[in-house]
Amino acid sequence: MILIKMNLSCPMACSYCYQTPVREEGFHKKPYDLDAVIRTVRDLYSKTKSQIVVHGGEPLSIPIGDFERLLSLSYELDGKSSIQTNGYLISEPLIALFKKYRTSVGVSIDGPWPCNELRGSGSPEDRRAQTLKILENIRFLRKENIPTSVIAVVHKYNAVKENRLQLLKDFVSELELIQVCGRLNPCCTGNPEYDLSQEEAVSVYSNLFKFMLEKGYSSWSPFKDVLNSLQGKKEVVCVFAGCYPYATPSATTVLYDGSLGVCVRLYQDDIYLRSSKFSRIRETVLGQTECLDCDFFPNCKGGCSGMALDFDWRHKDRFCETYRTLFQMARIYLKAMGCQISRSPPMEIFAPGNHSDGIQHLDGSIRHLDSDIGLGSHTDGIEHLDGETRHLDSG
Amino acid sequence: MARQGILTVGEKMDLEPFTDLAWRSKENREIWSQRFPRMSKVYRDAEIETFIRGMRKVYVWHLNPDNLEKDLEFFNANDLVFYPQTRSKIYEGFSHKHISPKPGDPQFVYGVLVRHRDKDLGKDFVEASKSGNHQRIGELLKYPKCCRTFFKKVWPSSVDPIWEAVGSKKNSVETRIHPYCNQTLRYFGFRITPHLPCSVTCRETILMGSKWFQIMQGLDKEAAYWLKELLSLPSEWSCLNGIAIVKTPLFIGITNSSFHKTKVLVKNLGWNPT
Repeated sequence: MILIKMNLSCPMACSYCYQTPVREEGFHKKPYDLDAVIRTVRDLYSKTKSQIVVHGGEPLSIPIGDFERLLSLSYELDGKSSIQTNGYLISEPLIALFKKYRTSVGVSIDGPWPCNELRGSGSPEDRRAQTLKILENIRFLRKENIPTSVIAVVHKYNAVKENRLQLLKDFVSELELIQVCGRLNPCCTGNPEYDLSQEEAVSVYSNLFKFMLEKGYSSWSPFKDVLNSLQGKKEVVCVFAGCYPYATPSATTVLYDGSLGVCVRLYQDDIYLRSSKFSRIRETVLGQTECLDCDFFPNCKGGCSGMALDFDWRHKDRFCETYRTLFQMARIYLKAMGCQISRSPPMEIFAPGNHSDGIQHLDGSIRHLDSDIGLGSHTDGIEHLDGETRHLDSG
Repeated sequence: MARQGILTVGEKMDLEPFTDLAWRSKENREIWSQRFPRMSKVYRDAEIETFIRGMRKVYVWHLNPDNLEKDLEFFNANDLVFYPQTRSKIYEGFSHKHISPKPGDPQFVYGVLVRHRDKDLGKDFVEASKSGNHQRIGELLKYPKCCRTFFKKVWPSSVDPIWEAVGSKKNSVETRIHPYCNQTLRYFGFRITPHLPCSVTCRETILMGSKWFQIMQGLDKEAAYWLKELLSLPSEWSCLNGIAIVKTPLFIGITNSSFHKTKVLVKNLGWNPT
């Protein structure tokens, strides 16, 4: 996935945002060079055919003319376009652009009010109003048949406090009714005021997984990815794909000056450009150390580099226990359903064949091209537009 | 099995030599990536020069079959004898061990060069290598005695003894590393002295480094200055689970390293290069 990050500014500046440390480095204050960005995207797309996402910060905060150039570029190259937004600034003129450029829209929202109270700007009353407006905009997008997905961050304020987990589940059910699916990403700020504790994360995600299974919701990450991985399918989220933190092929960022960066989750106080290599060094190290005795290591490969313990990618993912619990649950479920558990889960999702440049390629069985839209035709498992259903893996 | 402290090489982990480098900015990359080849070359040339000038009687040589004719010409022209020791797969950067090549792997022959009149020293080196006599190897290569003793103490439980050279028992330590003693970037080809110093301000190493640096200046003054400038920058070296990360203001380097189960961190406050 090619994430265009013209800047990282966002009028909401939510308190837990994983991009905050990068903003503190003044990254978002630098003026962008649209022509340089476009040149880089063209070059990268020609090599990778990866989906292009206008990302941020808030992509709708850049001048509309520049925004349209980016959608137009993506449409020209890929026949469609994609954005990840806070959803507040959606308007009729934008809907017209989305239709023109076949845009799928990912909205970042953590549930209805008060689940979404960590997001937004201003007073609680302001944020409540913003939440209502975003929910209204999601319905508006769907009414206009714009493919829409949601990324919700799961934290204490929508999964633990005052029985809000039920509200979150109701939210998922409401979204399912209007054919919106998405991701439930664990909050990872290092701040215990927001982040779920180990025990809370295990409990909340187990509860959500049971809920998904009971309701038959099959399109929510990370649950679908756990099931896919155990069945040996390659459609798994980047968290389970084996990450090299200096290349992050599932999230190649094009920065404000046209240079290539990595997944912004990796940037704490260290901003760096993308390496020209891909390596399995993290998996190799974890497979011999912290994950040595884990049955599910071939499935999760140590998890997310950006969510590693102490924010040091040489450690495993801090949500290891949560994922292990989900894999255990999924294994029992699949066994009960008579499904085959794969003994050889996908190990070569990225950097296939002889490539070592960290860029996803059209390459034999590991194909990264979205021209053939339709569930089941994808093999990279990351981000796709499947008819009306949008699968975006980021945020 | 739970691991504690530092592992012995090969006890549990097995990482192939690996290096990578991520630039901090396009500007840094544009300037410094042009300089890097000359910076590593000036060190390599100085290493040979110290041997040719007779400052050292023994020189470790990697004989690449692809350069065989050129290498043999060099040996003949300088009246040198090559003692082969082992074949190794060609690896990235710097390695603390040789990797047995499989048929067809790109490979080189590791061995030692001596002048014809010093043939006995060549045999001596081979014997010392076979018996793992690192004191003698270090002596033949003219490494300072204090550093040879240090090496014997730390090797092979730590193959990249940067933290050990600081001499602190704390996991996180702040210090100033003299550029002649700075081996944090050697896996990337950047160093001024050839050995692992016993401390980050080892007097013997600094003396040796002064001589070597003079030679480098004679070979490529500009590249020698860049090398010293790079090795004088403030930096942060940390090691965990067999991987070292070196953060400099220009780039972040990643390499295989010692096997610390708990992270160790050396904050180098830098050195005035003048």
